[in-house]
Amino acid sequence: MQVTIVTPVGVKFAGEVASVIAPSQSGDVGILPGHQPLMAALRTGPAVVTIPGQEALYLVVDGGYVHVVDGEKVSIVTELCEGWRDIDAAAAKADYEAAFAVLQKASEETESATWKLKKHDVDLADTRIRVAATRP
Amino acid sequence: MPSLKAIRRRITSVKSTGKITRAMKLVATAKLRRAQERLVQNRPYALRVQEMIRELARGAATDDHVLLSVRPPRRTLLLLLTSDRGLAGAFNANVNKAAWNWVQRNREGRDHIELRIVGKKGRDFFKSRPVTVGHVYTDVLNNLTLERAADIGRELVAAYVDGGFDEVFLVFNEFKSAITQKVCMERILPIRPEHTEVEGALYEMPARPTADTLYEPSKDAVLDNLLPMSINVQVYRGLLESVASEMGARMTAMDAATKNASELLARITLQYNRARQAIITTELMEITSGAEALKG
Repeated sequence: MQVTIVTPVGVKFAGEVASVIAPSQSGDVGILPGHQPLMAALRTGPAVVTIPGQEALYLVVDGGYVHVVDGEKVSIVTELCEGWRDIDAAAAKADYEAAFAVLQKASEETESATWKLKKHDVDLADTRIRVAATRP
Repeated sequence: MPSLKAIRRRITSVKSTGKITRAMKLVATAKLRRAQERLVQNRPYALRVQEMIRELARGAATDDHVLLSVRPPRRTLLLLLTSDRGLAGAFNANVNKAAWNWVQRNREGRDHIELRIVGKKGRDFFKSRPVTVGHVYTDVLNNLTLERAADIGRELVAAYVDGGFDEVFLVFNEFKSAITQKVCMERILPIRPEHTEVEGALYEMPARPTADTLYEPSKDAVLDNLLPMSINVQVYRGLLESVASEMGARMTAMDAATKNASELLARITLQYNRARQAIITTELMEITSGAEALKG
């Protein structure tokens, strides 16, 4: 199964894989060869790519979508994709705490766009911390 | 006629200025190459997002999604992209003027126009002009990251959704070539899918979504995700174009400056030599006439 991860700074990952787990908005979608054609919106969260004969690769994925065609071509189009090598765990932790503090203060206006901005920051920092923890 | 010493001082100063402009040109050239690479890298992504939106929004009515809804333009937001540093030819002046002209021409019939500015040069230009300036972002172009672009993009979407703005424009320098930039003004909100241009499909698209494609959570939700992405795509692209344009403009300007410096140097060196010769001639005349006088 062929997976391509496209981001605005170039193609982040392209290769043959055994399976992909993508963080979709309604939960995680596991994709194996032969999957039905799919178009799913992604949230900010970790994606897991399993390459035959290697350890699972955890990646931060920030929104976007995953597209499956022909049961064996998977493309993930996202704004940001980072592996543990790209992440500064300490900075992520600081970001998390800063954004979380703001969120807690404004916990009533959960529908406003600014609240969503902060929520996104929290999610991103949280995912980064988790992916950074997969450092071997 | 200036004294020899004054001319010599001038020569040194022109020489060192020439050195500086030459160095700046070299730096701009190197940065330009990198900026162009980034523009190219961004393309497959931008193409995919735009194509997907067109695919999904086909047949969608404008009131299906808040980012697609066309409202009468009463309150307008302009995002102006300039650089933090000068010495880049007409790079900043052109966009600033274009934005200012637009504001003056379109005040009538609109309740409110707000500018958001990237770069110190734009901020300084509009400091003394009667127009509302909202956010100013500095240090964006020097160290352009996607995150920064996405933050700006998300704030634009927030302004459009919560802030009561009816339309959002992007004003920037489009990179044509190292020596030419074109000022561009694009409406990025509301999104009109049929107007989004996808230039040269360089990227192999997967087969069109087939009838049995599963949409998760729903077709609308996918669209919901894609529309803000496309705003970020456009902001990021505008910023990338600006970086490349800035470097191109600086390269050209500094090249011209270096040429002028060497021309000027040739001219003052000539002047210096003439002055030197004149002094020698006068001295010789004095000596010979003195000798003649003694003889007599």
